[in-house]
Amino acid sequence: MKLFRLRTLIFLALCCDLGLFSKRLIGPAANLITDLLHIPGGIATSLSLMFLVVAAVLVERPGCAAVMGAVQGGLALAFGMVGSMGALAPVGYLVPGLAIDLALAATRRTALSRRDRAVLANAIASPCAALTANALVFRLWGLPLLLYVCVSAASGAVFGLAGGELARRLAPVLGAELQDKGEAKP
Amino acid sequence: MKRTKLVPILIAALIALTAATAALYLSTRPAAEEGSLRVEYGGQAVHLPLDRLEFGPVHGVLVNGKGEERAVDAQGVPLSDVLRAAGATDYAEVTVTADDAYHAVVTAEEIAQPDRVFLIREEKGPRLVVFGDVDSRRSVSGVVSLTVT
Repeated sequence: MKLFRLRTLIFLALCCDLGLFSKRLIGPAANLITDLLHIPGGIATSLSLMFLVVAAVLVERPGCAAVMGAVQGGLALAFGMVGSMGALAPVGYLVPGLAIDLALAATRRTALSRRDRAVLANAIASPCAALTANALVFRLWGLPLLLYVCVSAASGAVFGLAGGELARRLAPVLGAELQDKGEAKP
Repeated sequence: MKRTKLVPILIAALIALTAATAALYLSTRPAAEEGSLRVEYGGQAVHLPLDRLEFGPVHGVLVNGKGEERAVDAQGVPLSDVLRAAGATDYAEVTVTADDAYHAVVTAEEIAQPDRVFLIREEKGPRLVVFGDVDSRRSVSGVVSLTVT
């Protein structure tokens, strides 16, 4: 039995790449806000995670986001895009992937729409990524840490909303796959 | 509550919480004056103007998290000289904090070693460099304060 169709795999790979490189693209703009708030980041990662959320809500396979996070971690190591995390960068990619999977699994049998689940997943995964980066690199505490997590969660929710909308528009592209599994949701 | 209202309420609540936290943080964070370092020592804080420090040539090699080496050739001042200028003489360690709250700790033994711990001049403000580290995690850019303990 095939776990994934080729089209789905290509879509997942594309989302991995988009997530990885969008972080670099939005970085300078995001830094304008985080510099103003005197915190080390939190916004660019939320956009990066949006692509994992989009893929995970559309494909709906357990562990999908975690696998994508692991692939991103491998790619980051291969491309030398490890930032200040160094060799521990894959952990920083894997943890939010796991958080997305857990959030989507927890809301799977609820009445929440795909958009709402995307918002929740991104709003949960972004602070998880922030806390991981904090544990590995920044070691903030007190108010700076609280603000860092709040900014991550808020930007995660906003980008989750965008991700939910993106997923709605992309659903027809993966429609056949979703219908085969009877998992199409509004 | 209608399903459709969950997301706007969640986003509004998170933005409000973020704004409140930002207001609290920005109004209470100890800030350094422009062109100076804030040095906390013995329960007191002094602002040390950077132009009072004697910057000289600093050469060395930093190793980043990927194991890549980067040569440093800049104008800098030993951290020991900075602490002396601020009147800090007896200490065990110094926490060096950047404008974005990132911080690193250097010990008195490291500071005492010649050609090891420096503040080098950069456009965005001084940068802490610790030569001899296996990664550049203690390379702190935009240094604004030193907490001496």
